Amino acid sequence: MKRADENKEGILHAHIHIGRGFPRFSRDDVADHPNFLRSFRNADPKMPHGFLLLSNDKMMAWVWAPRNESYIDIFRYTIVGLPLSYDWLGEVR
Amino acid sequence: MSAQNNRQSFLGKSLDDVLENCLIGIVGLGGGGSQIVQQLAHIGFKRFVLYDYDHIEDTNLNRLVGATKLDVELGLSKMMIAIRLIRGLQPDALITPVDKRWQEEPEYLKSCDIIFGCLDGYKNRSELKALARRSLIPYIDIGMDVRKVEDEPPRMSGQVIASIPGFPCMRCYGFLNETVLAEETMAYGAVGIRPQVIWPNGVLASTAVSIAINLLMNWTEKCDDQTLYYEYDGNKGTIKPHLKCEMHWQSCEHYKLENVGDIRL
Repeated sequence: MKRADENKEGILHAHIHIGRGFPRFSRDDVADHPNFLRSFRNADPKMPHGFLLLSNDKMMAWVWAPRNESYIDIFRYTIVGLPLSYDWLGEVR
Repeated sequence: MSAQNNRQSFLGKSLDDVLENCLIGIVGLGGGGSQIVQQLAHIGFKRFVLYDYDHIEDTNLNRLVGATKLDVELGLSKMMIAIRLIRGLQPDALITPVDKRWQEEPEYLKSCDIIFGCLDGYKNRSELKALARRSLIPYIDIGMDVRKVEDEPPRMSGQVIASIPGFPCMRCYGFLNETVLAEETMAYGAVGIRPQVIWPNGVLASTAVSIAINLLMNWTEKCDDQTLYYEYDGNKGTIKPHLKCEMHWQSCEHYKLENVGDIRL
């Protein structure tokens, strides 16, 4: 939070749900999101913030654009390295 | 695996998915870029972001793949020629054409999975590489040159450099440095006619495409050992890993992973 405040960075809260396939946020996760998001936006309201959820082999994220109450559901991602790893099953929605 | 890909199925099971979804950016559709467009369309890629603002001229016909005499008479743009080339092979391709300097509208590049740079000049390259690094996108640069050195025969050289976030960049390798950038600025407007021919561009474009395919498919199963800097000697007819590839790089000092995203002033 301090670093985001000082460097004007967006924050992605990350955690893992053990299992395979695209993970989904639990009811408790969703209930906690507003409080986290409020804190993230206090650190920097001009940056996007959100939540990254990992499984053993996939990931997805919800990201809120600045001043936007609805989130972007992200299923498409690329892990940059040698080689590239990616999942393009879902477009950015 | 689709029947269309049965001759290239060795690349891996995910080939159909990659060809359907991977978004390729190509900046510069001249001698080098047109060859990359052609190869990627043949392979079956279907999503492109293309940048070029130039029109075809008679002097481009010695090297611009897909161009015809009629195109010159009609004054077609290089963009139109590239789109025609892709559509002839992939009629349902999704193409985003940007007929401006890439610096005027760079946003489309930030969504790409891989960017190919086929540009003249060090400054142009340096800026495009910086955008790719800050956007965490692999950038593959090709370029060639022919120089006359006193009484010796012309020397033809070239390079393919893959700039992958977290790995050495074009500055690490010494290809880009303050000296060449300053020299280019000093010589601005006085570069004269740059010699360009089709065959070195073919070698360089093929090498660049081969790097991209291995990055995406890892069909060699040795992508972690992929050569990222090739040097081309047109006089000898060789292309080989640059000596600097043998150095053991820890990380890139110029583009640290914490310095990503748009520059905010």
